[in-house]
Amino acid sequence: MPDQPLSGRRIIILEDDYYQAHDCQEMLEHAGAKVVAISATIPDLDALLAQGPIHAVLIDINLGHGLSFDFARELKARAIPFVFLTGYDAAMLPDDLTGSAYLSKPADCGRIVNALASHAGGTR
Amino acid sequence: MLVSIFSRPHMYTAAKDQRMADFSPDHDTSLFGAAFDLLPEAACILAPVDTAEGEEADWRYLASNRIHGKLLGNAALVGQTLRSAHPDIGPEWFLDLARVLATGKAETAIRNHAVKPIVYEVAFSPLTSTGRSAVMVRLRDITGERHDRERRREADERYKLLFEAIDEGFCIIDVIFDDAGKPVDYLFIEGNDAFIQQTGLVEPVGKTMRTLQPDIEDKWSATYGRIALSGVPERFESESPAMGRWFDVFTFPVGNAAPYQVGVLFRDVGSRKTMELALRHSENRLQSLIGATSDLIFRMNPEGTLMEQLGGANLLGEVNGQSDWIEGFVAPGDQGRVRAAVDAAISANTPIEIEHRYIRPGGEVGWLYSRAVPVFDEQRTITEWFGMATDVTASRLAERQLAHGAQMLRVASEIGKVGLWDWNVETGEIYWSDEHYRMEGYEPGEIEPTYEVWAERVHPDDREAASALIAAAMESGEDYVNEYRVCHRNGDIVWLSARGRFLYDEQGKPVRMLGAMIDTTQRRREEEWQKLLVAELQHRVRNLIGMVRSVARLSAPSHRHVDDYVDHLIGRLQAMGRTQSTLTRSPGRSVDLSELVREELLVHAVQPDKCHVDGPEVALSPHAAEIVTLAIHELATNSIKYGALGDTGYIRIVWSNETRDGKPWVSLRWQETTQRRKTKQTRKGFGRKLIEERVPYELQGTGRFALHDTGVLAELEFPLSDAGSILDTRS
Repeated sequence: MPDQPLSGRRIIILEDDYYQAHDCQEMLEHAGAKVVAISATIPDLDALLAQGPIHAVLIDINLGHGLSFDFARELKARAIPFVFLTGYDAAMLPDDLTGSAYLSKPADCGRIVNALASHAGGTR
Repeated sequence: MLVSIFSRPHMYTAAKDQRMADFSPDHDTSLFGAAFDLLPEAACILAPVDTAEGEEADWRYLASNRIHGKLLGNAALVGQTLRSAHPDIGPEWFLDLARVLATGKAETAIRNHAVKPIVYEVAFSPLTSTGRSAVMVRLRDITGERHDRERRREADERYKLLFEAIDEGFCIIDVIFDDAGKPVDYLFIEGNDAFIQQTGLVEPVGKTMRTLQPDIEDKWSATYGRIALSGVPERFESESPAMGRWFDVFTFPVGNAAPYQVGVLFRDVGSRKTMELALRHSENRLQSLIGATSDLIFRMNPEGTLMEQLGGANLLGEVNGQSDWIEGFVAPGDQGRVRAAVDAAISANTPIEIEHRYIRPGGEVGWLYSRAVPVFDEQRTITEWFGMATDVTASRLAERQLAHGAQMLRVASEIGKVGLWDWNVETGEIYWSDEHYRMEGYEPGEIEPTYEVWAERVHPDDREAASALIAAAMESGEDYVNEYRVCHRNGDIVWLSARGRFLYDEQGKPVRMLGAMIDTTQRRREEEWQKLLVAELQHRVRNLIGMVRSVARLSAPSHRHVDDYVDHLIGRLQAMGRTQSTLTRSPGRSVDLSELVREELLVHAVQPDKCHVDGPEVALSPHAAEIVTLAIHELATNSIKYGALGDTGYIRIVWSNETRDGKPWVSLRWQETTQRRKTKQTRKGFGRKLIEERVPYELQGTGRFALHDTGVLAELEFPLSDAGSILDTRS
């Protein structure tokens, strides 16, 4: 289904802004994804994984209460794909995370969906 | 034949002695006898007398010539025996006569007169004729001759002693001329010990100078040749490089006619000459020194009032003879001081040493450093002063400039908060300026600075790099430039930006390192801050755009009319804008809740008599402030349109602090009291969503929105957090 590139993909949205988180959720669900969690704080990964696989995580770098790099590292360690979505520059990324998939806010739907699709193993 | 000689009356005749009967008188008249008698020397002939056993031997005069008789004062000796004629005769005569007779050999002897102080030279000649033997004795009075010879011998002896005793070398030479009459060499005839010592020539007598010293200078032969020919003594002093000596020479002719032998009396004056030369050099040097020195050399009378320039620099201009120098040259302001110093030195007999101003020949004032030492006589009375004066104007000026420069540097480094160091690489000594101590977290002078003390303060992460940079600068000669952290004892960390430079000796060995540094902690902090601000601004702008987009979309469904929609949207954007301006006014700081509420009410023109605002002082994070502002905006807008603020209603906005699970929470309540509401609102609008969903989502709190008959009751509860902006979390 060409208009649902994230069909069946289980995705987590980590975004501290309520409005943007919901916009994003709406957008991803429209693309066929199943958003298993939206959160302004670091979620309990184990609990979420217990419910099913996670194909990708969309991460805002600044979660208000702290930066999300440690969570990104955890994802990396567990081989769960992720894409940074942030208002900051890519230069913000620490050395061990440079090269990670990265989108600069504001990003339109297409770019977010494409980025996630290419990392989450969605239909090509 | 001989017998006939004795024919003269002086001869022995038988008549006088029986035993001499064999002599016949007729012999006396012979020619031989006459010749014998006329011999120019005293002569006699003696024949032994036959003597009986045990009788003393005796000799009889057979002949005695006239001179002989005269010499002995007896003309009638012939016929007499020796013992009878000379009763005092010594036994030696008999021994001499017997021996000559026995040996048959002539002898000559020196014999003294038996009683008179007369010395004879006696020649004994044996005579033999026809079996008869006699001895002819010739006498010569040599008393005077002997005396002369004795005197000459003594004189010779004395001369010899003198010759050997004198220190001067002495020799007599024969000058050798070549065929052309040119003196070419000379032969040593005689020489004393001193001559050998002072020339070093080995066994010179009998040798020529050229044999002894082949490279001898020609001048010596020439000089001696001249004297040998002229006979005029000369005195001169000359050097012989060939012999490595200096001689003081007196030469004089010896002999009666030219070419004379030459007597040479001389002395090796090498050491004196060396000393003279050394002295002359030393004097020359002293003169040169006095001439060349930039000091003024002077002498002064015992009272220290009159001064005479001896040489050296002409510091005072043209001054002839003595002058009152204090009056004449010392600057008026210093005259009293100089006078006092001179008087003190005179009374204490100590050298004078004083620095004072003086009037230069050109009239300007200079500085003079004068020293003088007293010269004493035997009674320890000062006879004069001898001294030097140096113009020290330039160095005084330099000193003052140096002091001025040092003061400038100190003040500048204090004001500029520059820390200075001077590291003596060879000794390890380090100087720190006061500011440097403070930069290292010490009181000035608190500790002895060393490389180790410095290194210990450097942040462990920066230490290795700092040491490496210093080593590289030392190696390359390029400036040391480094910015590093220093940990103070109290835990403070400061950033220092240092620049240093090594100094090297002629061999290129590093000897010192000088450097300066400034505290860049504040600048670093500001740079960090600015970096954060820029990043935050970027973040916010991007977030804001995203939010505007969301707000715009969320605002859309509840309004049928574009005008309403625009009003709402603009209101919300303005509320967001107010939060932003509040935050920008005091970036990174919290926002006072009371202030926020009152401002929001003011914006909506809520009269003070229509509301009650009360609550403790609460500091909200920027994030919370943003949400609360928007919430108050929504509630106020809603209330104006539909509720209490639209008519005679009343609003209470109160909040309180509380602690939940050890964290501070704030609980805010908005309560409207109105007679009636204009519309019953059922749909979940923007404001309600904000309170009920966004507050939990973003602030991890709770939000309730209830619509009662008396109006809206909204409650927001959330934990207070410093977070909400990167500016807060990253500090």
